[in-house]
Amino acid sequence: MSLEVHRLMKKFGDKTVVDDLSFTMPKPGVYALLGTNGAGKTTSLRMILGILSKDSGSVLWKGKPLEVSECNVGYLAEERGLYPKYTLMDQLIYFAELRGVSRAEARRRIKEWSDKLDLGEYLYPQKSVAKKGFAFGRGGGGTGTVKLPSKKAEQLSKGNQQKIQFMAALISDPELIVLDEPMSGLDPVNTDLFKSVINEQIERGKYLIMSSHQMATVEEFCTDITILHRSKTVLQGNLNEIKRGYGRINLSLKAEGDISACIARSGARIVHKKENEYMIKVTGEEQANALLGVLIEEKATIIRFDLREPSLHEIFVGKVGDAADE
Amino acid sequence: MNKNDFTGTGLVFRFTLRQHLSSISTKILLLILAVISLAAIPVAALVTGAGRSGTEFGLVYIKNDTPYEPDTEAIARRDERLGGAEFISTDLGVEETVEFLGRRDALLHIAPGGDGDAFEITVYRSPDSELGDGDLSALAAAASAAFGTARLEASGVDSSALGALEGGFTTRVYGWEEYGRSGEDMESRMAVTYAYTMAVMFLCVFSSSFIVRSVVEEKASKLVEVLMLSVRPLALILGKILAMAVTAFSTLIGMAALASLSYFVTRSFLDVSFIADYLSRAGFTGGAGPGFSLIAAVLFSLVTAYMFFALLGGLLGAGCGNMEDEGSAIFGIMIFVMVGYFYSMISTISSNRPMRLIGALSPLLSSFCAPIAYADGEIGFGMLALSWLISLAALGVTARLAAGVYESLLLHRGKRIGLTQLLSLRGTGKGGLVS
Repeated sequence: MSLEVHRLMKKFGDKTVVDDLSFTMPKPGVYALLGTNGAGKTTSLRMILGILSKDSGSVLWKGKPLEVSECNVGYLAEERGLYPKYTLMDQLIYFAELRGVSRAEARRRIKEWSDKLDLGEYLYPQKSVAKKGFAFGRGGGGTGTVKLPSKKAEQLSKGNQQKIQFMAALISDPELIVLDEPMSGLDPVNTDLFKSVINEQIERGKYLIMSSHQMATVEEFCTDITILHRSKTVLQGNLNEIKRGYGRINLSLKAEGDISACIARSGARIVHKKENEYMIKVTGEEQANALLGVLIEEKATIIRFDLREPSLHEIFVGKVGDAADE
Repeated sequence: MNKNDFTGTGLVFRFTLRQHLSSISTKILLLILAVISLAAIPVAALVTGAGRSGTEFGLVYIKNDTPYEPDTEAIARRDERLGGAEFISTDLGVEETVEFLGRRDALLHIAPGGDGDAFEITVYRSPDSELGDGDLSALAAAASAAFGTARLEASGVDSSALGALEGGFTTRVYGWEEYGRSGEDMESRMAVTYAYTMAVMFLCVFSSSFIVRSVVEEKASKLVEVLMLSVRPLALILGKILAMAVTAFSTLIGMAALASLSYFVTRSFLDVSFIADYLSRAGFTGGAGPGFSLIAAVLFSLVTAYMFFALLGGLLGAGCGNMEDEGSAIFGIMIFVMVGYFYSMISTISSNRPMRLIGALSPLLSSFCAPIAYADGEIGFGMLALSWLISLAALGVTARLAAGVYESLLLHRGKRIGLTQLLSLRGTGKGGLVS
């Protein structure tokens, strides 16, 4: 086991904010902590990293208590920020040095990440200038470029600041990466950029813990999940196994003409209908086959018949809704 | 507290120092302080009139339209600028005489006065004269005094009566406690008290304001959580305090060095002996003895005052929820500083012994009062040492309180934490706060 979280508990005054959270990451990959606002995700991540003390419980990394000063950890906090008035280069070197990276190595890695995240114009800005002087017989001086100091954080858009913060989290090439809502506030282009970086880290065998509200994004990466609701764990396990446990109950159906009557005859429930496209909830493969039989019997022209497991979004909403009802 | 609590202090120190020194506002402030340090002594010498500024006179033409003859030797003795002057009587008109005045020459015109004045003295110089207004005023004053004497002599007053008539007199008012002290002692004591307390006040206000701003900035820009992954809160605040200490004390040393340079340069042109008089009367005799122990007292008090206000700044800054709270935190520090400043000034003016003793021994107040009371002889070295021990103990308690609550405060969001709530947080560590 590489990361083991055992029975974490945290109270603020009389209020329990994390109640008995346990999970393990035996091998590299992405672990997702999901939950509604105030479910205890950020507090859990802070406790795992030792930023916030635990009331009880333990966090082990490779069999030993996790001590962030002794192992290479990267953290992108939910509340992100940079020093607004200081240059980006100074800040990144500072963050790298704090994580034990030498100044020279930090400069090399910043250049590498700058190319990867397309931040060159902010980290290595240049200005075109007219060359002074006159070369005899060769006309005027022409133009050249002058290197300028890197920009200040306040001169960047929110999205670009987020890229810098992402860079700061990964600059020490950490083994364990904790990302708290990494995609929130990003435009689609930058979301794809972040996804590609996360995929690269997964391929390089890193351990990632991620919290997010964006279920579709999490579903792309994570292998295991924990869903928290009001400080308690309401669902936990391998995502594929969880989905298999629910069975194939989502049927996406498209046909020529109105087939509502056929669906009603099979006992299935229409969740959503748009023209002749239907989102149908079935009890399982048996009911789906029965509906297919009815459609064949009625000689309906079927364009699409797609039976699937529930999405993470549906599982989440279902679980959190159930927990709220209890 | 353990060794890990201080890991990263050096990096925080280096980063803070570098950023602070590279900011434009710091550069402007340092420049202003450098100019003040260089200009203070010559300006003080000129303003106090202690200097022998100006140019020496060449020829002084005297056009006297009165029956009285002032003694030119007496005029020459009155001011050293006139010591080498040659006095020549002239019957020419004013305009004619001015025409052939050299660049260091002057015309002294003594005429019967009008509108009830007994006489009128006017001094002229050439258009391209090197003589300044101060030089002409000095000549007019010397001539006026000599002319007054000449009038008395013409009236038959003998030399002993002249001495009695022209001798000056002074008035002094003493409180009971002040009986036996000279007026000059009191004046120099006030000047030194003022200069020292101002130095403490500026040191504390500037440095602690910077620390407040720096802490609030990290909280408001939401950086603190990421920083706490790499450095413990104690290292974070200690790095800032040390960086500011280096800046503040280097600035003070630099200002002292520039002022010394200015002193040595200025004394070639102006009389700056008044500074040595002040320092001597205040106990700075130089070398071993009281001067050395006083310098130690001043340095110790400055360091303890700085440390106390820096820790206070860190705590109040960490208790802020956002940048809007920064002003309130700095105001809190200002109140503490002003209490110390005014207590020191009032206790020195009043010369109330119990009040001065309380000031010298109380934590915080002693930073403002103890060196002054020691320089003034109000407390001895034993009492000064006791004041140091009390200050160190108070500083230890403050540092312990800061260590106990700083982690909780850094992660705190929401309303600014008051002093009562701050004290109730002791020992909660990274427990966090309900915002």
